[in-house]
Amino acid sequence: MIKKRTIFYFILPSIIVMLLVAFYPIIHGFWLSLHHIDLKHPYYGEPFIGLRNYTDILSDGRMWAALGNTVVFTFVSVGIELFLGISFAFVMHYRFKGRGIVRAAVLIPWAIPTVVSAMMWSWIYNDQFGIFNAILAQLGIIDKYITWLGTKGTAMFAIIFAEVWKTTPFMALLLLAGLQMIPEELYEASKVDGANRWTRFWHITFPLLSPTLLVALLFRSMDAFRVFDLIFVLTGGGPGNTTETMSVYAYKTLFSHLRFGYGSALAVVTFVSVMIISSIYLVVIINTSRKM
Amino acid sequence: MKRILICILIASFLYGCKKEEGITTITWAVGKDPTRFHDTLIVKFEKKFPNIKVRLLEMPESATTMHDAYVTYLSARDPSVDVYSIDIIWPAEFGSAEWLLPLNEYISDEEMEAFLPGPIKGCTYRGSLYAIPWFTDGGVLYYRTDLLKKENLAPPSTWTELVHHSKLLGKKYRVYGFVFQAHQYEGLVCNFLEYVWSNGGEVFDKDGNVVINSDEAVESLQFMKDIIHKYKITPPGVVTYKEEEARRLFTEGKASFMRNWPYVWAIAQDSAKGSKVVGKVGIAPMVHPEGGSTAATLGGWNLAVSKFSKHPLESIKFIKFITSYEIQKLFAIKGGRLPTRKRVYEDREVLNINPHYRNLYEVFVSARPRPVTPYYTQLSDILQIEVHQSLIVMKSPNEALDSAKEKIEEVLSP
Repeated sequence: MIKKRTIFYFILPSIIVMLLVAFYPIIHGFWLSLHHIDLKHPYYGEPFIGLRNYTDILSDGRMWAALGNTVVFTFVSVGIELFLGISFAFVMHYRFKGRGIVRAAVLIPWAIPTVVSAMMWSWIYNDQFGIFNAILAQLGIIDKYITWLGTKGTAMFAIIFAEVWKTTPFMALLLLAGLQMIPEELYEASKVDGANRWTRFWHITFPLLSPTLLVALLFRSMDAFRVFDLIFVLTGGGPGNTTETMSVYAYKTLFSHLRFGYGSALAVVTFVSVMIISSIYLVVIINTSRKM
Repeated sequence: MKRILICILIASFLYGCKKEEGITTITWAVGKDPTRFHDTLIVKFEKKFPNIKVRLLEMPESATTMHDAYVTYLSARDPSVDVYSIDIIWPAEFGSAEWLLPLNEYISDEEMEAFLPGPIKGCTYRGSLYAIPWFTDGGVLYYRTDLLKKENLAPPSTWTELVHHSKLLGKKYRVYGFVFQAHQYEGLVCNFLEYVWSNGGEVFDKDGNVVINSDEAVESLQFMKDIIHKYKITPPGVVTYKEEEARRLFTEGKASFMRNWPYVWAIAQDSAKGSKVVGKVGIAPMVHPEGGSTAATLGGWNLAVSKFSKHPLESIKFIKFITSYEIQKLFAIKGGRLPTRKRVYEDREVLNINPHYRNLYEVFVSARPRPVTPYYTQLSDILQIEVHQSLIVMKSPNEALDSAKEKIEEVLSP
């Protein structure tokens, strides 16, 4: 009989590493956000100012715009990925010739480093040489080449499109794994009872897929909320700063402007937002698994 | 037996780690160099100073990424980098943050006189020289000599001529008129300031007041907007172009005129690099409004010594060596980089390889640095956003520059 205490000592090293690597930066970041720190002016010192950075954030129009862009980006891209992900998962679930190759090929966008794919997409969206314009024109969908990344309405759409291309495979594969866990006998039994496709989906697939679905959504939402590379490379926050998200704004404040106090506060706001989103998901997950 | 072997292993390892007597190693952080000329420089230096070894720390290509990597090292007071290669807009910022060693006591006034005045001004903040100018850059106008010849036109020198020539050539030869850089990034500010300065506008007046919303500046921004939307000699996609996007259009033969940096010259003359306009390219100073005078934004890279370096004297020897006359001449001939020493522009061998230096000398001597203040990155951020919003017709030039003035004053107020 292994004592509980022994188990604790075995996990202790991992807990210590996690505390150092994960918690310490978060606490330190929060601590920095309570001070006024401008590295360009070291003679000013780093005075403790309490929550003043946060009250400044509340009246910072640029922050609200960035938060809005981030929320829109997250909702729309994760929503589209959910729909496409389930579709791909179903297709890959059925046995057909070349299924192995399809499953591997689907992973390619996911495997390319984000910065590399962002550079690729910025040339794809080019208004003179880009193949996005070329293909759409040949299909007759547009009659004049569009400056995708330079026009206010289309830039966010173009960024979301590139994001969905890259991360749908992740969703699809997670959901595929979830689908494969559903026992075949349930479907066979329901067919005997005369259930049609839709009933089978709604009463068997969907409930049993929910846990995996929620986990996939949780991961994707947390990642999407923190999007940085794609936007930084494609538009730098433009056009006219209309695609700037929280991470981009925080990064510029920290590294470009050397305002470590305010920048840390922006990072903390991002962190808290992500925590709120994941808490909501966790509550739903726990409730759903309770019902089962 | 095993224990003895382990002891011998550890002892020999420690012995190998012992520093060689009298040899200092300094680390040099510098951007990627496709011509591999940096390695040659190090070899020459180590030959002259056998007691000093130089370790090359290659940085990413993008200036923004370099800046952020430097901030990471310097804010942690990391002594592992001794010499930093810095962009002309960073000395005030890094100097104010007390990250760089002031070099005034190591360089005499005569030595400083030998350099171009613009770069020296850019490297000086509150009287302290924080870097030695290494090579310089200035915005210039590229034009298609063949198209102008066919129509018997001289290269444009004013805004009106630029528009007129562009329209004429555009109609006849189905090319865009003028391309430049207007993506939301630092390059946009470089372009924007050239129009403002050539029209007599300024960011700050001589008393330090913010005057970026003066009539002259608004006129300049209006002109930038007009060439895209009113005269239509510039593709609207220009708001997504950085240097390479504009360069590509020009060397593909699809534009008559381009504003870019001198680096394009070598590419334009090389069909192996994809140029379709070899031998058909000319360079001239940037256009200016009637009654104004040409202006070029100063670019270029400079060498600074970290305040946290453990080998400041060796580092200074290094930066003085690679900014010496002989090395700058070699760099101009082999590496195609613009020297920062005035006399190198008169050297016959240099002029043989780079004949355009002759007509461009005036441009480089008078190229202006962007506002030399530690707040420059915040200023630039504000200008980038406002100017971009005006170019994509989200705001009028008046609104944009009034807003810019307000925001800049907010940043500068204590």
